[in-house]
Amino acid sequence: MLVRGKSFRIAAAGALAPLAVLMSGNVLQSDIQAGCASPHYLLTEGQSNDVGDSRVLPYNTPVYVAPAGSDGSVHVYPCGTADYPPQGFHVDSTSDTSITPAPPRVEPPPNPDQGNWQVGANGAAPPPAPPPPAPGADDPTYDAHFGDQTCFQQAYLRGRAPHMPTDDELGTPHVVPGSITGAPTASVGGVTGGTTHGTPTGNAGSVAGAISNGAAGGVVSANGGNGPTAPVWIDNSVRQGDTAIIHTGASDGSQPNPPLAVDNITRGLAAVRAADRARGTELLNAALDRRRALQHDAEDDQDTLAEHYANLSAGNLAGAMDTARTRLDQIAQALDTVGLPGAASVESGRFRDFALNARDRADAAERLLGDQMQQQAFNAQSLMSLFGASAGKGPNGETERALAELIGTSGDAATAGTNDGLVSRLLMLNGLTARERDAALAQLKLVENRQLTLQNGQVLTVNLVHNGYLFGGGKSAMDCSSFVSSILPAEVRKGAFTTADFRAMWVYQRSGRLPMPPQYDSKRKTLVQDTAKAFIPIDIYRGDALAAGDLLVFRLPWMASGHILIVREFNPKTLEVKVVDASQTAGTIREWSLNLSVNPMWLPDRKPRKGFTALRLKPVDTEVCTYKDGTGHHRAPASEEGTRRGPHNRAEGTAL
Amino acid sequence: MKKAALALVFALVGTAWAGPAPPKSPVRNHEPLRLKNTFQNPEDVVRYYCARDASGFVFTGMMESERKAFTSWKTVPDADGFFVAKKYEVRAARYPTKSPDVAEVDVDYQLSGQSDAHGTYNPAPSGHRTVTFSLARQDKVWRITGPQPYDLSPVILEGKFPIHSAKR
Repeated sequence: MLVRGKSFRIAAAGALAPLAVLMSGNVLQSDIQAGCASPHYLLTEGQSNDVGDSRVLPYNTPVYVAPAGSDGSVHVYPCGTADYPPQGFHVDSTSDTSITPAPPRVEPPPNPDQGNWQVGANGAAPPPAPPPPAPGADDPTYDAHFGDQTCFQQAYLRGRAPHMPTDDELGTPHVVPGSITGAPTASVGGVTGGTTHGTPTGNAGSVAGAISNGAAGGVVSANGGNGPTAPVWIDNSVRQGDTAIIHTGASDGSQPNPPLAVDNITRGLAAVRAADRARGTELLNAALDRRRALQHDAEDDQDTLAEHYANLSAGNLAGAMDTARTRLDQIAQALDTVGLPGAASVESGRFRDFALNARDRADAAERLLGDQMQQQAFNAQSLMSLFGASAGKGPNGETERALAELIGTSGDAATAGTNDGLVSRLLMLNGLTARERDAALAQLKLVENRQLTLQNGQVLTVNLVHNGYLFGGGKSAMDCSSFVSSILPAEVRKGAFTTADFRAMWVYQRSGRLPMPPQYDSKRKTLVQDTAKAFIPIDIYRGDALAAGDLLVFRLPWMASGHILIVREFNPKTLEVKVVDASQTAGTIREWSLNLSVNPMWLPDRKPRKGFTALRLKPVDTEVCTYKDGTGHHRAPASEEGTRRGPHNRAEGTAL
Repeated sequence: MKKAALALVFALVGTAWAGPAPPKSPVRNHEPLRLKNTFQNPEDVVRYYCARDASGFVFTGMMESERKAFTSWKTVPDADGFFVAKKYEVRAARYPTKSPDVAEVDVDYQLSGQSDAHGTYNPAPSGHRTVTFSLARQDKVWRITGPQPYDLSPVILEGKFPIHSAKR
């Protein structure tokens, strides 16, 4: 719907509620289109009487922050109005909604905290809106017409899949250090009428806060410090001359935001950016810590189980393998026929396949033992330790080493958190006697017990050994670092949200609608929609800058799989991004760099390659996780409306 | 040390368990895990990979032992979704160079869609998909050299893996 003759200001709204835009009724559309440049319609407390009707824009709608007027106040406009919907997005033509592509980025002045806003400053007109592209021609996430292979292939050729480096290329995989020093500190001086809070937070050296109102005439409140609670989150990609993405923070709606003075905005933005970077870094570090903790849990579980296999005689070991084979076969059969209650059928398939692989390895070990014993190739009464360092040093050295590899007792810590490690633990657990198994289960950390009712009525207890994924929402509320950690490895991600889901969330947050395909069942659709609200969609194709902690999702529509990377650093000039991802083979975290663009560096307008979407967790409690700031304080959204559902409404979930 | 141990596993186990074991299991319909690659021709290597893939073993997590025995990949495939096929056919190998140690094998899939661990349904971009596997023989062992795992989506065969598409 074309909105004409209006000026706008941000009004308070719930964090997850749509951006409410209140309008006064005396600005011509042409004024807005001419660059949102007119400073004459001041939106101050004193002018609240000017407020006429209201319109609601979707949450996270791009808006334009106009320059200050002569009295130091600024307007906030929705960025243009919709003469045409942005290609690739679904816009509900029946609602009072308008979304317009942001104007091209205008390079900020060298010091973003000085100088004028380039667009609209001094009455300058913003760059003209680009003509609407052909459907799908330039939309990185275009997927409206599945089946159009040509279109996909063209997009593929334009985008080219980023090369995912191998462990060999990266060198020895390493665990990312636990903390990052040098995180920026939000320290802004000279903010008129406002106060900046930067709270050092331990060894991360980051800040938890941003800016909150001081005594009078405050500016922006980002973490609800001591000032009035009318926070505005300004995406850290905002620069002078950019379209600003202003996320209305929470308030009860009774108090509109105070006017935004330009001096304060420029300084405020810098502080918010710094705080956001610090927050992202902190989140990333916490996520990596969680990931490491998970790896340690897997190693501990491996050691716990391997102890039961120390100093077994060959006969006893063969017996254990026979027990494991029989039991794993029974489990696989049960999972194949009745499945796991409360889990998606494919999840039953996953655990069935783990059981089958473990069964086959038990079978191989049993055969090897049988052959060796038959040939009297080793001392059957003295099969020594199968543990890593001592394996192979007993009287039956080579066979013992082979068995240790096969069963998984070799003590290779690096593989504990991999699929191989999982299968080994499954094998070892199911080779134990009932008493030994009970004792082991009391100590294991990564196991979930489920009862399956077989077709004959018999109840079979299945011990689901896993690498960090639990069904049914898990044992406890998940904090945000766990959530981020949980999506790193594809193996764990399978049980939570896939790259297709994250991509759908991004589109949903941008457009208010889920893309089609994928075709969700109703329960999962609701889950994806709810989860989407936890994120701020970052659009790198419009110049949004990535920040530490952002999720960078790569998924091409014609591929059945994708990748998730977590941003550690981003250089907006070179589009170089340092990322963290999980290596299944190495079972750990690895860090590498990629360039978002395949264009040569000398090109003035380098385009990011296709297929990327980026999401930023909101720094409050959301649908997916509980947020704690750098001081360990829980941060709920200021508005209660629709935001305090916490992490418990997940139909399926991940718990780490 | 680890490499040597693994080679030893293959050597020792290979003698005892070179081929597919006679299934003792009621779960008979799946290609059993092999720890040693004893295939004499490239088609059989691809056939083994596709059969394992069809039962979901690639999607759920290829074993490192398989990766090393049957491929030259540096990492195992790491996918969070998969194609669903009604059927597939492994074509005869061709030898694109003069070398008898380099081969290509096409696999033609008839696809019905894409899915993931939650049964979310995506239509397939095309009903037909051909994947060309490149193989190289080294030390008398054929191994898959291409595509690379990050360019190769798993393909699960209907009926081999429990897939319930989304309720629509």
